[in-house]
Amino acid sequence: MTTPVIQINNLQKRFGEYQALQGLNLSVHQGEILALLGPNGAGKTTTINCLLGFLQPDAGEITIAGINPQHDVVTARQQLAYIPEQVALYPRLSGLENLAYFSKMASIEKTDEAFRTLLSEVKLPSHAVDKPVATYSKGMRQKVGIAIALAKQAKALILDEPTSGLDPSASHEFSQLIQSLAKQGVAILMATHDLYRAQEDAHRVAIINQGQLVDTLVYEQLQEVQLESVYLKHIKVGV
Amino acid sequence: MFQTTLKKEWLDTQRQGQALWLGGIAILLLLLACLTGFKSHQNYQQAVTEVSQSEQLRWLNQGEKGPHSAAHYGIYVVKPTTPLAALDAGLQAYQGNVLRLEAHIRNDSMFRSAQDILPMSRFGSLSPAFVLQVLLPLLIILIGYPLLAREREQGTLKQLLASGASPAKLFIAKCALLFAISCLFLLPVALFLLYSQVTSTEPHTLRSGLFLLFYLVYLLLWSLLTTTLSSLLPTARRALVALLTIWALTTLLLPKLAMNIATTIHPQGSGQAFQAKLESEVYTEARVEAIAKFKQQTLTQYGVSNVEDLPFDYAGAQLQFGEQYADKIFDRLFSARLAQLEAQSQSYQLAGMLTPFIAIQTLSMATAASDFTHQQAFENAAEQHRRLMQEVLNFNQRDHGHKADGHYTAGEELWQQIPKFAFQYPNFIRYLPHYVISLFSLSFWLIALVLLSFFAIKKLRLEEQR
Amino acid sequence: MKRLMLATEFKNLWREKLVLALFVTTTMLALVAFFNAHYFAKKQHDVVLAAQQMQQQAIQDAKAGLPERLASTADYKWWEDPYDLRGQAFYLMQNYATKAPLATSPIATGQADVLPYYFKMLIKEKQHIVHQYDYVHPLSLLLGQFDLSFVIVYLLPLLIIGICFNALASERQGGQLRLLMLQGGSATRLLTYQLLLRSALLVLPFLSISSLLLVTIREQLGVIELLSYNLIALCYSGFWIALTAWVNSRAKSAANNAATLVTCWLALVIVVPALVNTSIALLDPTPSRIHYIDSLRAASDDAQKASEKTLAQYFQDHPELAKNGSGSSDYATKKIATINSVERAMAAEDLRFLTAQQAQQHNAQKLQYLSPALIAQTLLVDLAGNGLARHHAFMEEVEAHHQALQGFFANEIAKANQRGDFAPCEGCSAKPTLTDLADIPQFSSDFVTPENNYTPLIWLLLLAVGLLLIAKRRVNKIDSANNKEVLVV
Repeated sequence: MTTPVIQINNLQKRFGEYQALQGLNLSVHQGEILALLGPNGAGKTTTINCLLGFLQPDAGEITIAGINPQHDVVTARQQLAYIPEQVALYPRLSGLENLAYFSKMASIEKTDEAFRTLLSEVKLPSHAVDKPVATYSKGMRQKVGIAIALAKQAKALILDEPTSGLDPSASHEFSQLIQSLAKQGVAILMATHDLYRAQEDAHRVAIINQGQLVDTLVYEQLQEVQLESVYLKHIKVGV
Repeated sequence: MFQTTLKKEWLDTQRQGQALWLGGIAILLLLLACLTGFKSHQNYQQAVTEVSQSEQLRWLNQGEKGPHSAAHYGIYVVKPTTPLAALDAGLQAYQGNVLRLEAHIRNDSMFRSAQDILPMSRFGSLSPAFVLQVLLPLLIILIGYPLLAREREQGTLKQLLASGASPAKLFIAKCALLFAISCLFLLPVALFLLYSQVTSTEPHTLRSGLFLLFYLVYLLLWSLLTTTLSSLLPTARRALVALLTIWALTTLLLPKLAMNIATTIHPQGSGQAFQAKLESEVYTEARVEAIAKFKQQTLTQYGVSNVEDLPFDYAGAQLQFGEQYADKIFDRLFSARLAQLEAQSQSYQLAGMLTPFIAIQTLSMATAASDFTHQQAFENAAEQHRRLMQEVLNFNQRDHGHKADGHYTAGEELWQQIPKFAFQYPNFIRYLPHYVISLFSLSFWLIALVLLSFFAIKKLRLEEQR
Repeated sequence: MKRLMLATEFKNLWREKLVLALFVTTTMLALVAFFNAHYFAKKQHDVVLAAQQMQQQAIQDAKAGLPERLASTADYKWWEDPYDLRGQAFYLMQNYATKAPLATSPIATGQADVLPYYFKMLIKEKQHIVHQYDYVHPLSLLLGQFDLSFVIVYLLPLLIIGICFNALASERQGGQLRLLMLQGGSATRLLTYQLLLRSALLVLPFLSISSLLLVTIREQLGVIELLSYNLIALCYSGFWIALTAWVNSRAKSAANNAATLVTCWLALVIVVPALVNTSIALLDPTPSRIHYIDSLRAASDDAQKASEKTLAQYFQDHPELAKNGSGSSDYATKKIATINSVERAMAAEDLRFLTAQQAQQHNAQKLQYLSPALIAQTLLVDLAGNGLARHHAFMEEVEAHHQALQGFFANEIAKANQRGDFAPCEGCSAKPTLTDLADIPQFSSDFVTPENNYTPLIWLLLLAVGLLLIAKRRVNKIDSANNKEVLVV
């Protein structure tokens, strides 16, 4: 096995009285899709925020491609890309302009043509490329988000509820994109409530509850079990 | 509905705290303004009484002298105010409140207190009218902008409507709440009016009643506008920005611009030019000729060839003729100037169609008798008094001048024949024609906003169906 | 990075149609404000010119008519005779004291619409001269002139608030800030560039257009004045930009920012100045002009009643006029003595007004620090030459001129009296006693105005820098990890 791109060791985070993370361990390897499951308040978003360097953990260690965001948030962020549930873009700029802007912010200089190619790679309809993002559907915005991640050649991609609110065909298209990214060697961490997509797309599923990892299912197990019953079992135990 | 809304909004505001603070500060400012307004009104009124009294005494005790000397000695009259001027001093500081009445000359009022103050004072000082006209609308906006818009953003609006609340009732309850809060601020004003009604020797019931009514309408306008925009615009942020823009335009920018335009389209010559005109048009060859002609006529009428043979003192007759000759020219020049200034007033009032601030400002000053129209009433009355004075004095000279051996002198008996100048503002009804435009524009705004609210309620109803 | 962020921000504003709207608005404001105030100043300038022309014309006319007058033996009444000292002194003199508006006048009309700027001088009580004024619609005085200072002091802050209140807040609420930070951007830089670009789009067109107009249309404008104007406007706008940065750095919602900023504006531009004015007036109340009238009347009565005593007193003070003691019964000298006596009696009364105003001014200088609007307005009005400093200088000059005129006529009349010039001569009803009107003292309009005091600007700058530093610390926190503010969506 290779060294994991995302490595989380004994991560702890407390908000006042509330212990959000209590010693979470997790890793995602190159080319791997890890689905992170857990009920609301399990610590998924806190974990992501720690990975992105928006939150300072109380204890434990994170590395992204070997870099600890606590020590060098800028370099760490250069290694990763992030697609939230709602991809936040400038509504008055076109998809192309958004992609160019956010990429150039990360010091990625490409020609307009190269950016266009990227957008067609993520299957953004060509008629939409130059239209303001305000007119885009959620799925189209997500594609621009993926294009930004692609342009950055991020080693790790973090997704937060990527498929919620997408219609089935958009959701399918999205999963294909994710798969192809994984094939290119990107480590993908996907926090989700969508058990179906997790079972379909993920190489590994991690279930967390109350800030702790309660179970991990690898690909082979996923083919055999009913993910829902496993999930519910863990959550009930947690309760 | 009103009660439940009140309760809910009260809880909301309590939690926010901001609106409470603002309201508290506003009411403090208003009370302070009422206090200083009342005090300066009292000082002024006291000065008016004292100085009018001592001027009258001075006039009566001027001693024995020729009537025409007394005419030159003259008298100063001071403009009185109404108790409402404590609430809206209007243009008091920008027009002269003292007039000198003397022979041959129609003077302009003098001593504008604005000349004695610092340039900084042009930022305005705290007066009840300022608080009511400028600050209170802003408070209504700051309290009211989220009333419906935030409910929409939070999604609670849909829930409310879905649970069977009537859009009209909801809208009216919110608006009524806002209006009720703003009316709280009128309470000190109403109390003051009541107090001055009870204590004043000459109560101004109609003026006080209208004053209050106009402000009620004005506050209702802002409550309606705020609720309507809060309902029509999708987010609280946009409602706030739109309302603030309207506020700045209507209370700050447009009035100033309107008056500047009014003075540009109805220009007025300089004071220097006017004075020069007065002198050059009165003291002309024509006047010399007219006096000569008058002399000739008088001589012919009495069939004598020498003024000494007339049965009265010719000097008195000629003085009166000279006065009347000049008065005609004064009438012409002063009314031409006044017409221009009146045109400026009317143009300004017309801009009230663009902003209700102009309408309320005009009507408020009007009921408080502190505007230009009431100043004119005072100046006209003073001029009539001046003419009366000249007539009595000149006729006395005419009728008795020839009986004296040497220089004819009169005494207190004559000075007493001239009544004391006791000006009172006529009934407000008589002034109404001056303010038709403002009355119309205030009603226009009310109707327009009521219609707009209907539209907003209709939109709310559509929202419910969506 | 800088260029990229600025360019994208500009693109965003452009597509919101804000850039054009801003440009049109500021241009319109600059044009309307400048021309309105310019024409106001021009009107006053014309009056001043006309007065000077009338004064010169009178001198010319007298010169031209002199031979005829010398040759004539008609019956001249002294009060209608321009060649009689007494006629000139009390009735006929065309002598003006004027304060012409400066080239900088359109910057701030200030008190120029209320304060008198020309006096027709005659030998009468100073109190009757200095209270002349232009009769205009009082409402236009209440509302004031629409001038550049109005735009700068009132409207620019509002516009700055209007386009900057959602800087950073909109990105934070919309989530773009998170993405931006993941891509290596920073909130500090975003806020800085947003505020700089937006306020520059607002302030720079306004300042350049108004400066251009000032330079081209007000021809005598100096470089220092122009720089001062721009400096004051920039410092004041700088304060508001800093305040916006400070409010925006609190990381609240855009609507909350807007409400807070407008409340700040209301407090600093409307309420505090009104409170300051009210307290200045309460601390040192201006004496009542109505009571002043009373004193003036009383003083005149006293002087009239004691006219013989007044004259004796006058000769005691001016022994040079009493040579030979011949003029004691002379009407004109008596009249001047009475005027003098009234002025003396009123001196204490006038001083009360002056003292009250000086005390007010003293308080105003301290209290102006409570509101940047007061500082900016005061500086702009002084720069425009429409403030109290220049007016006081003018009034001192007027007073000196009034004294000079009185001295001139008192002397000349006494001399003429001693020569017996006022007595009818053989073949003439009266001798011309004043043959060249140019002998009458003329008002010198190059009175010195005190230098403007720019120290309050430093306070503005300090405030701005302080606010910016706090804002920077706060936004830096957003940039550093472990900040909940950026996570709120």
